[in-house]
Amino acid sequence: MFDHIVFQPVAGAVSTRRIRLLALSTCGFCRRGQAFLEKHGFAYEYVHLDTLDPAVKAGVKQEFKEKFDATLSYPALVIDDDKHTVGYVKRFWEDLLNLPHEDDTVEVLSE
Amino acid sequence: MTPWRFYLSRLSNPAAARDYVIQVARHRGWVVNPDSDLVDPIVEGLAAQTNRFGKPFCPCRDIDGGDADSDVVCPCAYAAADIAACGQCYCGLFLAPGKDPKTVGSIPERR
Repeated sequence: MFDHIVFQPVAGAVSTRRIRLLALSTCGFCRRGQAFLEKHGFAYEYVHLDTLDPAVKAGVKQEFKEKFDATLSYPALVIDDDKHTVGYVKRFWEDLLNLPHEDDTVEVLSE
Repeated sequence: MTPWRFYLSRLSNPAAARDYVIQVARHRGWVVNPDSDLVDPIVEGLAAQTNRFGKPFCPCRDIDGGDADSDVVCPCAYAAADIAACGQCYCGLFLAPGKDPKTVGSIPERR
């Protein structure tokens, strides 16, 4: 997926899965998501879509929608081009990355 | 330059953007999220959006900066409903009085 865009790599000790983050450079939850990945030592790649050419960005959004039947919102975490979650809800990220729930006081707000 | 446009242009400064956020919260009866790890990037994002597009568009949404995005100039048209339903705006910038900042996370897109 997303073969036509360049992701920025971030090194980490845990690199068993391909973790990619679709983010905005201005978004607070995107920064929080990056901090989460780094806290847990994951190697990952990210791209700030707001810095891409509009036509390229539109292509990424279309590809995401076709693959996951979901509208892209930020941050979006994609694992091995197969699983995904949109938005930063810590419990969902922990589930997707097979981590134990660290803080059960976090309120889960979902549709 | 009209007074309104002059005022908006000042928001390209993060300190002015922060003052704007404080004034909005006071006017609307909301609370600015005290979690600086989350809020500082958002305030910087508001300044960046003003530099890019001339208005403080929501930094947590992917926008093109045209008239079609006028509904997401901060505070966005959905903030009041989101704060009433979830205790927070889409960005987590504005909270309902009494909302625990530790429970702030991504919420469904109402737009």
